[in-house]
Amino acid sequence: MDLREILTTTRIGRLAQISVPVLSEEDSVQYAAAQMRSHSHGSALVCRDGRLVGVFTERDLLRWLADGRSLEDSVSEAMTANPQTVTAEDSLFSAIGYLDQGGYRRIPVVDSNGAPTGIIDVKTIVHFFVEHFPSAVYNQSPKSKQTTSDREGA
Amino acid sequence: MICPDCRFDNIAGADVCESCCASLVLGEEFSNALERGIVAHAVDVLCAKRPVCVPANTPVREAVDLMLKHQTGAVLVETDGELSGIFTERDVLNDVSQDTSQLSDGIEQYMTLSPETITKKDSIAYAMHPMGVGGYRHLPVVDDAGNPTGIISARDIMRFLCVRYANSRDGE
Repeated sequence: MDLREILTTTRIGRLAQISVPVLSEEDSVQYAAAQMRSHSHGSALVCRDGRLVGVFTERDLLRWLADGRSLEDSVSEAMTANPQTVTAEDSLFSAIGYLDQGGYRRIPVVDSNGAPTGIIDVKTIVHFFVEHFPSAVYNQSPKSKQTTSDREGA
Repeated sequence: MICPDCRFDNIAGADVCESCCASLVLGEEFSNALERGIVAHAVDVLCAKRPVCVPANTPVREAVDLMLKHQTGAVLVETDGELSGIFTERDVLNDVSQDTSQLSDGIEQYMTLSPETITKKDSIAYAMHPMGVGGYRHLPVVDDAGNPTGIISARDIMRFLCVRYANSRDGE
């Protein structure tokens, strides 16, 4: 099976991370960062009435700190509003298209009501490739193409 | 020997393609084009971004500004020209965001010491190993002397594989 076929037949729902912090708009940036730390995840999904309205990422946090803004401010001010989303039924291929062209590192996964169900990111996709082609990746010598500097017996 | 990747006609017995540097000897055991490709191609073909390098005593605030300016998630820390550490967005999240007074501290306190590295001659499959197993998002590329020359990200790998082996940019 070639890669394109694998990517078009694999559903995002199979790979999406579900252990992602979900916040409401009034939560503070400080709380968002704490939730991201405790989930060991670089982003948080921000919802209003159960629907996704924004995503807050490590990059947003960086920008917030660089601008000297307060961590007590609400996360809705610091988040990226109305992000690109995918659904669990979409193919991995379409997610890769968005990640590649949009320059995103991750895309929220939502259901038909707009409620967040997880997130799909670049790192997970690379991990998926490694799992799919383990013999090529896991069997690499510590140093590739080792050669001796001197001719044997010379 | 015709290179299976770039079709360059190499002299018989050559181990490495003169044109694209792909190995002409490795990878024969793999039946799949992608597996052959990631073993035969060196990290060089990813055209690693030039890294943002800073000394270890750089204040966190300055490192954060540099990451935003260069739109990168990591800066490399150099000591006497050699790579000594890596400081990433995750370090900011884990440490600095708990106490903003740490923005004035040197990044040496929060960076990851002696990160996993690769050289540009290593295969892409070899680079995928620490990313897939260690979960690293960035891998510094160093030369033989340990000087950082580039940085590759998980996105570079995803792009290479999907554009080359799944024609992900076709039909647009």
